[in-house]
Amino acid sequence: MKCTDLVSGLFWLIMGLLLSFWSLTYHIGSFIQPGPGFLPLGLGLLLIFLSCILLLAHDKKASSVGQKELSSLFSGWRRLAYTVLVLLVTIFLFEQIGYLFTVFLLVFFSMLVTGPRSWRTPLIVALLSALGIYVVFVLLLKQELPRGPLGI
Amino acid sequence: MDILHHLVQGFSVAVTLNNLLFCFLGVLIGTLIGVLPGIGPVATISILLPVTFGMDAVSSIIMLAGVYYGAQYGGSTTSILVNIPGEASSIITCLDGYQMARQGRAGPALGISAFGSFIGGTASVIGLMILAPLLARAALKFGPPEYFGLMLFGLMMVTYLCMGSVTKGLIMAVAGIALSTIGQDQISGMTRFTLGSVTLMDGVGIVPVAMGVFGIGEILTNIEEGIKQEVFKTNIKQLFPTLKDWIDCKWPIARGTIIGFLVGILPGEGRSFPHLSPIPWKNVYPDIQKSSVPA
Repeated sequence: MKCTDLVSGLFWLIMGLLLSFWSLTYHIGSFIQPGPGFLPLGLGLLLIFLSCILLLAHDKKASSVGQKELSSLFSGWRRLAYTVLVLLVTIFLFEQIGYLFTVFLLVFFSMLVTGPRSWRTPLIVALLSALGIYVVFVLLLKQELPRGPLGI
Repeated sequence: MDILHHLVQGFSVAVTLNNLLFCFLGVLIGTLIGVLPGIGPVATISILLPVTFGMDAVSSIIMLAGVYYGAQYGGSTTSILVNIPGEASSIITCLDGYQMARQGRAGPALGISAFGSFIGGTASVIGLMILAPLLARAALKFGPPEYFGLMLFGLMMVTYLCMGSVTKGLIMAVAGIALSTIGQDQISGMTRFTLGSVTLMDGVGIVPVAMGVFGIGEILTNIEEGIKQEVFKTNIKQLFPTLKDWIDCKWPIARGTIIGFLVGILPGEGRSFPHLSPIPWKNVYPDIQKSSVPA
C-alpha cells in the first residue's frame, strides 16, 4: 500500500459525502417506489463505505516509503496544471474566437510544455493542424465548425 | 435454399468492380476519419453522408457500409498506438493492444485486430442471416429480469477484471454508476445534478468518459513524466501476425465471435457491452478480441 491510496481514499470519501448530501436534496422515496435521489444516495453511501475500507487497509500497512510516494505524486504538477489550464481555457474560447483559432492556440501552447524546444516547431505544427482541419472539414466535407468574429 | 439464392444474388451485385471500388473508397475514408479520437462510426457516417449523394442507391449503401467498417477499425488504430479509444467499442482494444505496441509489436496488434474483427463480423453476418428469424423470437423474450441479470453480470465482471485491488475496482464501478445518474432520472423523469445546464440533462455519454479516462489520462501521465514519445519510436512493421499469434488467438477470436454474436443480437443492449462480455473467458496474453455486433 502506498501513500497514494490515502489520497485517493480521501478523495473518494469526499466525493461520496458530496454525492450523498447532494442526493438528499432530491426526493428519496422507498425501496418499492424509489425517487430520483434513491440511487445516488445508495451509491454515495457505498462510495463512503468503500473509501473507508481503502483508508483502513492503508492504515494497517502504513510504510516509511509513504512520504516519498506522496512527493512523487506531485512531481510534474507544474506541467500538469499548465496543461489542465490550457484545456480549460480552450473550452471557453471555442465559442468566443472560433474553432480554428482555438485549435491553433491549443496545439501551440500545449506543445510548448512538452520540453525545451524552440517556439518554432510548435508554431509550424499548430498552423498545419489548423490548416489541415480547415481543408478537410470545412472545404472538403463542408462541416459547420463554430465560427469566431472573423467568420472562420 | 432460399438463403443461398438470395446470397448469390447479393454477391452478384456486390462483387462488381464498380461497387468494390466504392467499398474500398468507403473503407479508406472511413478509416482516415475514424482514426480521429471521439469520432465513431455513426459520426463518421453522418459526416460522409453528403459524399454519397451523387451515386445510385446500391453503391452508396455499399460505400457507407465500408465507411462504417473503416471507422470501426480506425478506432482500434488509435487504441493500439496511443491508448486513446476512438469510440466505445474499441476501449477493450486499448487494454491488450497498447501493451503489445509498447513491446514493439504494434504491427501484429493492428493486424490481428483487423483479422479478428473481420472473422467475427463475417461469421456474425452469416449467423444472423441463417438464425435471425429464430433468434429474434428468443431475443424478444428477453425481459427486464434478464436484462437485470445481464447488467449484474457486467458489474460483477468488474471485480474479476480489475487486477490488483478489488476495493479500487469497486470504487471505480460505483463512481461510474454515479456519473450515469447525472441527467434525467429514468423512473421519475426528474433532472439530477445538472446545475441548471441543458447539456447535462442528457446525461454524460460514454465517449466523453472514455476520452477523459483513457485519452486525457494518458496525455496527463505522459506530461507528468516528461514526454517520451514512445509511440513513434516503434516501427510498425510486419502487419501480418505470425503463426504463433494465430494459434494464440484462435480460441479468443472464436469465443469473441460467438459471445459477441449472441449478446449483440439482444435488442437495446447497446454497443459497448458485447465488447466487454468475452473478457472473463480470455487468456492472459495477446488476444485482442473483437466481436462484431449485429444488433
